[in-house]
Amino acid sequence: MKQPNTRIYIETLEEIAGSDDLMNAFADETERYYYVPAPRDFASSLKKRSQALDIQAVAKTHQASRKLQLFIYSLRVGTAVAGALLLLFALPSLDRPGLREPEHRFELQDSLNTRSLSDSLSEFSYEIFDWR
Amino acid sequence: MTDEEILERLIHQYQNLIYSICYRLTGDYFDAEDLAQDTFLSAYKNLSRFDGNNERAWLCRIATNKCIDYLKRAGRRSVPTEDEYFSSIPDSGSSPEQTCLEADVKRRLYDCCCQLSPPYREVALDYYYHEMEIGEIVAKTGKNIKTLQTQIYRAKGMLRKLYRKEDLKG
Repeated sequence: MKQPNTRIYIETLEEIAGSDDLMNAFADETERYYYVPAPRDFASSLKKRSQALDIQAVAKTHQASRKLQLFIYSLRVGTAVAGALLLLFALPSLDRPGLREPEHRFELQDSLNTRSLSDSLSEFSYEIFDWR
Repeated sequence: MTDEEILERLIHQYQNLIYSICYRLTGDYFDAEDLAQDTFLSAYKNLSRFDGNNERAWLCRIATNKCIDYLKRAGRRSVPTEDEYFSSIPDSGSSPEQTCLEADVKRRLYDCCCQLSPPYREVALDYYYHEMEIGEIVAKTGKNIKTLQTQIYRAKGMLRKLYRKEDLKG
């Protein structure tokens, strides 16, 4: 057999593997110039290996993973919706000190209603500059 | 179509191509067989993740990546190729280069089998070189099938070592 006069480097192989077009061209070249039939018992021994428990376990897991991913996603969305509804309906009925703001808001609203805005600003500026 | 049926179809359609790629990149008869089988097993395990586009390129990519990992583990940075030689030959449609390559693969296998000591030499020649079925070898030799299977397995290990020795010699 003629001695090879060039080499394919790993980096080139990685580039070939990264592109469908290059990969197909490499496959065409291999079929044309480097064709070697597989060993006679290749298919039969491969089918036997594919029945091994570890191979079957991984294959079935990957098949199930798509359905599992959808299930997990649905669970997350459902939990988020349930949590939002809980917050919406449950919180106003809770008596917590930190949640008395609405009363403060109403008090503030009352005080604003009785005094005009300009009076309030004047009061504020006097206090800052201590003009009184 | 079940995954098993898909695997069977892939093997039937691409086994020679994938084996050729693995042999081209490793130069080792038995390592190429292992890598080619690993390629199909990887494809089988990941069938659900395959988008169905360009099946041939997908399989060849798996094979190439497996060979790249193999080369890296072996500490090799490149593989020999005869691209420049073959590109200068006009396309004749038929392929004397293929015939030459197949003959070279068989010759190398034959030489390695002959280096084994009995009874492994005869078993290796019958099973790997002449590609006889185990039943045929049992009928020919009268050996117990379990004994024969053990000898075939051991012969394979010895042949692997011989191939690797040859690779180191260059």
